[in-house]
Amino acid sequence: MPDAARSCGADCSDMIPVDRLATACTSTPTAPAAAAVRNASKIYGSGDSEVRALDDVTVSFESGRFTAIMGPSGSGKSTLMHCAAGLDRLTSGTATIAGTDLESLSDRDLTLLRREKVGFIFQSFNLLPALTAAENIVLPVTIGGNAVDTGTFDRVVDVLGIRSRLDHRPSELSGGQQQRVAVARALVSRPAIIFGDEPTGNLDSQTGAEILSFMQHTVRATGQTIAMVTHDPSAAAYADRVIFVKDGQVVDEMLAPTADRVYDLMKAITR
Amino acid sequence: MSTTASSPTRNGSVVPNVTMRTVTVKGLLRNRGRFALTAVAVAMSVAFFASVLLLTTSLRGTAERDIAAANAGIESVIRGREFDGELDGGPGTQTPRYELRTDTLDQAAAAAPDATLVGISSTPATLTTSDGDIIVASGLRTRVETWVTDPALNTHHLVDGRPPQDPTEVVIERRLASAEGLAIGDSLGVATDRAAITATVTGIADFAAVAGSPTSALVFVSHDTNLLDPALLNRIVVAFDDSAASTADIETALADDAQTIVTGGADYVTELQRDAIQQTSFISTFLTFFAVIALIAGTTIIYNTFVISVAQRTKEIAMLRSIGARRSQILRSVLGEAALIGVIASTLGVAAGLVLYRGMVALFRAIGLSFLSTSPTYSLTSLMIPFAIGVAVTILSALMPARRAASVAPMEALRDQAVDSSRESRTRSIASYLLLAVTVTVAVAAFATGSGTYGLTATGAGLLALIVAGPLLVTFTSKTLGWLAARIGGEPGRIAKVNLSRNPRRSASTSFSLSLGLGLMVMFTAIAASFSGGVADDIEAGLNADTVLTPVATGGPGGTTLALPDDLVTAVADTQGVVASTSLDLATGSVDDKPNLIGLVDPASFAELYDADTTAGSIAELSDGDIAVSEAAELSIGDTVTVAFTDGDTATLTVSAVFTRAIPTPDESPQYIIDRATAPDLDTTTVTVLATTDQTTSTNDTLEAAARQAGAVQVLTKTEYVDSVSSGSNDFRNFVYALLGVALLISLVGIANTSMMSINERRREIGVMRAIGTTAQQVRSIIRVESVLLAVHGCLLGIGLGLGAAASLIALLGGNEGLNLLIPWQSMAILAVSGVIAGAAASAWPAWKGSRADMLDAIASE
Ligand SMILES: Nc1ncnc2c1ncn2[C@@H]1O[C@H](COP(=O)(O)OP(=O)(O)OP(=O)(O)O)[C@@H](O)[C@H]1O
Ligand SMILES: [Mg+2]
Repeated sequence: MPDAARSCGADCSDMIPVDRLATACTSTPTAPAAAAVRNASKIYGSGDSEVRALDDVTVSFESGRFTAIMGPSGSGKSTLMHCAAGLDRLTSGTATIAGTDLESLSDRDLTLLRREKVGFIFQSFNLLPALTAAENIVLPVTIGGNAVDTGTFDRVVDVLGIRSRLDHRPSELSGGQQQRVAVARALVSRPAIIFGDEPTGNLDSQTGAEILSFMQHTVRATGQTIAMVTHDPSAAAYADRVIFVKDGQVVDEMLAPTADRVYDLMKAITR
Repeated sequence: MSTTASSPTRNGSVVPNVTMRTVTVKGLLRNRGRFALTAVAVAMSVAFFASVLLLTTSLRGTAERDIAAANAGIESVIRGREFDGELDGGPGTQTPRYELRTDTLDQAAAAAPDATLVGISSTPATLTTSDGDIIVASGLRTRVETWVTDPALNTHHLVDGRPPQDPTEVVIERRLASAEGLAIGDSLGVATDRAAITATVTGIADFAAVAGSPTSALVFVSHDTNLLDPALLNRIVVAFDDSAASTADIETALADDAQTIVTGGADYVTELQRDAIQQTSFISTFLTFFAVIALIAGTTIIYNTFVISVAQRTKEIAMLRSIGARRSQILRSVLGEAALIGVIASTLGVAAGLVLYRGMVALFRAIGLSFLSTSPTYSLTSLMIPFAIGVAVTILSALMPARRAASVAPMEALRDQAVDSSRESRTRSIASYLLLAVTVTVAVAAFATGSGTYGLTATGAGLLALIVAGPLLVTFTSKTLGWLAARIGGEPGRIAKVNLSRNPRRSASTSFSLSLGLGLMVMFTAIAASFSGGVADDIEAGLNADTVLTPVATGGPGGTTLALPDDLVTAVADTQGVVASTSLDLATGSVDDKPNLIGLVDPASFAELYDADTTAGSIAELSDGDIAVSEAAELSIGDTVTVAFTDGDTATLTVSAVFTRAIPTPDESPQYIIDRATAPDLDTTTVTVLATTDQTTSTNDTLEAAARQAGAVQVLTKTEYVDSVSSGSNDFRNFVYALLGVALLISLVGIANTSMMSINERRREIGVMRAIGTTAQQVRSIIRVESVLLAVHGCLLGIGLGLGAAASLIALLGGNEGLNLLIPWQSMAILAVSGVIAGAAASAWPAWKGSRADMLDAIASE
């Protein structure tokens, strides 16, 4: 825990190019990190076909914040998220979730950690087709043999407005409804952090906006932590903070983003 | 082809020419796993079919060829005439012949002055090694025969050593020598009902080109042997040489003798060939039956594979359709894939069939069935037919799925799949409920009335229901058994339950082949148990003796009924400590012109030691001129029957007792019993000796010693004897089990296959489950529970149908023999448990594979 807390304060100067150093380190230097990676590198393949998807990245996702990750296609956003969420292992460097170093965990312990501490919202919803919406929502809790907190369940279901759909199979739901179910699934176990890889990428802007504002609301109201990859500046604007990734490195960061500022910075980066 | 291949553009890059064929081939290559699984299913069925065909053709081919070669020098044969009518009995039972006596040889010789006539005696024998172990000559009947010195008349020729020259010398067939490791100079125990000797092997002989004769394992002895009855002959073989006489002359000379028959050499060969083929035809029919079962099991797997593979590719197909592929192109693409798989897999299957064939030969020998004494014949047809069937079955299995593929709408490209959301058609569900209702109603009626016809109808309807209402039944199982699994297995159990019914049609067809294989296995077990169990119960109830002496069975189906030597009967009677003893002899003869088995006893002592439960009259009071008949013969006290014996005598006997219990013999139980005094001179076979003893160790030791002296005789207590009867004909059962085992194996591969493909299909969702916290072990147990549920489902239905069929058949066939269905609970439990274990085993690989599904793959956006 102290390790994770210290990480940003000590290392931020290495991580962000000086000319673009904005308010990064000054933001909330003492907020505990729900998840973090330090000096993280991820290399795919070897020899000629070697791809350095992450190149010595250090970043932390502080508790109670909504972080957006942006960057050009192929820049390593998804890789960063996978490694930070314990879905994939780093080639070098360390990844922690709620203070626990992931490297030392067995596959089983890593799974149990994900079950308890991590929620996911995927771009293509990824609900289990054979289960009803309600069953899908409670799965992360019941799979561990635990009882669902009915209070949380009710609140999440009502806020997301999917109560009338609970007994339906995913194939009987619209995309937006499916994604609401997926969001509910991520929230119901009250994880330390929720990761989303383009969670609104498959939705129309109206539905996407609803989901995003719900996510924003959850972070503000309950102190939930969310990290989300997105290509859409207006989606990023719902976050408290945006980090920018390019060629496997974090190249910039923005607090209290607006769609226009994010758009401009993205243009600057991709140039 | 090359003209349309690829065309270069102006600036030099190559525009590939992508045809539907390219899509098919590339698709196949990319999905090697799917390809391999289908191919395995096809190859296995083809392999089994090919090996069976090889087996049957080589059985037939060698029998014909070798018999003709071995008997080429024989121009005429004289034998005892066969009784008219068909003897009913198991395979291997032969119609009895009249005895052939040495005086016939003299008569015939007089009719053909310069010809060579040789009388051959032959009798069943038991062989023991020098250590006293009985030689179970690969399940063949072992016999002793006279060695024929004239090479033209001898069916065998020496390949090593010399002929037997005195009563202690023997020549043995090469297969006996190689199977038992016997060499020239070794000693060999030989026992017949006349004598038991220790002989020396002086030579090794071959039958035509092969190591042994087709139906028996033979040991040859010199003419002056004391193992054979000098007055009785098996056959007389004739070579006319320079003689002017012919078969017709001998026929004329023996015309007055109605009990002999003369056959020309060519006719004799034809007859032997026919008999040999008939002997193997039983096994051929059986093998073919199982090959067809295996093929059905295989076909359901192949069909399943294509259904799944089409389902998996719905998106891809829809995409192809949306960019302009026509329905017919999709249809051809899927069928083309099937044809390619069919050809490759069938080729592999035929190759594997050759290997399996050798394996089957070895297996059958190991379990004591050696019809396969002869060398194999590989004919092109026996390889081409399975190949063609393999290809055809593959294409046909793919036809329905291909049509489904062709009907995929371009819209589907946009939809998420993996769940069989298509509802069962109305007609199908109506038919399902109707069939289930009919099955249940008729089954209830069958139980109420005990009618076998109703039972069989119910079983047939049940089988049909299994096919039509399969999905419905799976859904039901998922609700009931699945509920149990969820209670026991927690969350993984619950998910498995849901998964089982998400694709009821697929689950149903997967479990169908298992039900079929297991059902047949259960049916055979139950019928076999009922037959031998009924006899065992009778003997348990009727036997008043504490000791039974009976021949050690050495034969295959039909078995050897070795005779107990007369000396043994006297020895037992004379043993101090034996309070009472009696013996049972069997003879073949005809009763009212129907060939039959007749038991000969000493009525008073037999009735004392065995209570045959007479409903009328008494066996103890049977005297010369009387006959006791089994209830099944449907005769009453006072009826008269005419009995003809093999020595030519006939007698008119009056029914004086009707009994209900089976008579204790090693094989078939006779339905007629007479006083030995009725036919005092008849050559009979003593098969059982019963004794009441003081049960001391010394008495038992004396009996054991006498048994050892006599050769292959075992001394059993009452309990041991009853057990040995109820275990029935093990050889036959093992044989059936071996075959059904193959069918079951195929259906288990089917389960593994379906499971594997479902896992492939569900990689994505498994990945999601892993991501949100399902451990690898939980994933494994989900897959395992699914597979076990499916196996239990298949087993239960199979057991139900199998028992239904067995009960009905017993009611139909066994009714007049007073047979009752005996459910072999123990075997049934073993079958059920092994079904479950096998289901779990079948899911081992898929479970492992599933637990390793890549999470990142799963959540990657498409
Ligand atoms: N399994 C893999 N094997 C090899 N290379 C990979 C693999 N996964 C990702 N890469 C490479 O790593 C780099 C980063 O990929 P990543 O998926 O993280 O990009 P991204 O920022 O998420 O892109 P996008 O916005 O298109 O989703 C890319 O160059 C990609 O080709
Ligand atoms: Mg990505």
